[in-house]
Amino acid sequence: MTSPPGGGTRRRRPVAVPLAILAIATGLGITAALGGFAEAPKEPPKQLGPGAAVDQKLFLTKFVASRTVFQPDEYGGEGKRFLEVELEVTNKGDRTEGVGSPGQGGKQGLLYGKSLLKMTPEITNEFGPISMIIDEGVPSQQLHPGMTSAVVFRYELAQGQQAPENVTFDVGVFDPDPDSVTGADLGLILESESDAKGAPPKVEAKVTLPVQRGEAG
Amino acid sequence: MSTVTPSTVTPGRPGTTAPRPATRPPGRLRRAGAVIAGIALAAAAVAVQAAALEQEDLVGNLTWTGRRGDEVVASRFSARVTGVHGAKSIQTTDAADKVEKATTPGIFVVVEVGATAHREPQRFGPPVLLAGDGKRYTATDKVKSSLTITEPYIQPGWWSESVAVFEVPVAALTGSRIVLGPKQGLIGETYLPEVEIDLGLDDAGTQSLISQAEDVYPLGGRK
Repeated sequence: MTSPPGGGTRRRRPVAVPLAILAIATGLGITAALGGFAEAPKEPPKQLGPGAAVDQKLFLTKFVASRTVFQPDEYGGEGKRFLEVELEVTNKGDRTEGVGSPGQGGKQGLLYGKSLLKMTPEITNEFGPISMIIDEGVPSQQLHPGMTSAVVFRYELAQGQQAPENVTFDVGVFDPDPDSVTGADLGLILESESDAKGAPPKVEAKVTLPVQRGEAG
Repeated sequence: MSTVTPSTVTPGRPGTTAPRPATRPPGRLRRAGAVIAGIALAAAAVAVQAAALEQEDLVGNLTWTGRRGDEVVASRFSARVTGVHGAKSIQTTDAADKVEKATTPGIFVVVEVGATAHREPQRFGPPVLLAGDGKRYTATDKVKSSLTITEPYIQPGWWSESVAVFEVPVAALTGSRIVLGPKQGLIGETYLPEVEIDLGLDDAGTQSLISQAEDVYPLGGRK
């Protein structure tokens, strides 16, 4: 069974390595030709109007209406005027979440409210918007799983400030299963534009609501 | 044969035919053995991965379970559920006699609970209703926490009785349990004790809870 010295049989050519190199080169060439490893361009956010529903993965949000409201002062002062946005929010997750509040001035909001990423034109004041669920006698701040709640965000208008004709909200999406290195509970996390660190939150939809004029004008 | 040891074998040298048959078979056997050992190691690694702790096991609470009516003894406190009621609305009266009535698109569940501490006074965090499908409903904020079991310090030596109030869809009732544990401190503590008490809502129990739900359940006010 020993081969004769000198190697009489044909030497097998080592083809595996050149073939593999060729295959890799071809694959890389095709990848490069198709645009490389950069992420495919995103779909632009949907443009929606009043009554539209946005699937935020952990929540389903219907943008009902926007209006101006006047809140008289209990003690005979001038009262306050608000721009009010009404939403119908269904919690599709598996635990109770807080309404929180939308951010303002480029700062991120809290809990559910932070998914309203941006308001155009923005109405800012010292304390930020007021948020509540008011349709059931006693105001609440909770979104229970499987339940739909009427959430109201109120933006206070300054003295003499006119409410805009329309407001547009950039709406984000929550990550249903955020990565947690330590295993700790991260709570509500927005999905980002890309995987890069510090990437801005992804804008799923832009919802424009006409502002109905209430008694506050 | 007896003089040949593996270290002295030089396979490239022709003419020394005697060691060849002796060394070849061990080489093949060894290779097969290495393959088998590799597969075994890989399989063992996969098996160990499958046995890795879930997140719940790593950071979750220590849970003592029981049923409605039982006295469930946890490490720092004992708790029991003495009654479960359904309600369509809840009317609360605060210390200033201000009356508020809360309604819900679902149903309110009022759980009567009692608790006593073993050594040190305890204070409960917000109770959770754990539905049959695993969804977690935090106690409703439509009832002020001062009217519920989260208000009193649970002292050793006697039982404190109060309620926990939840707002849930009707579908969440069957198979639900109440989860009660001490308030989490500013620095999160792992392995907090908690009790999980089955509310005893089987299909029939759910039906009777819904049909006997009170229109207005009063809470608070002067007794």
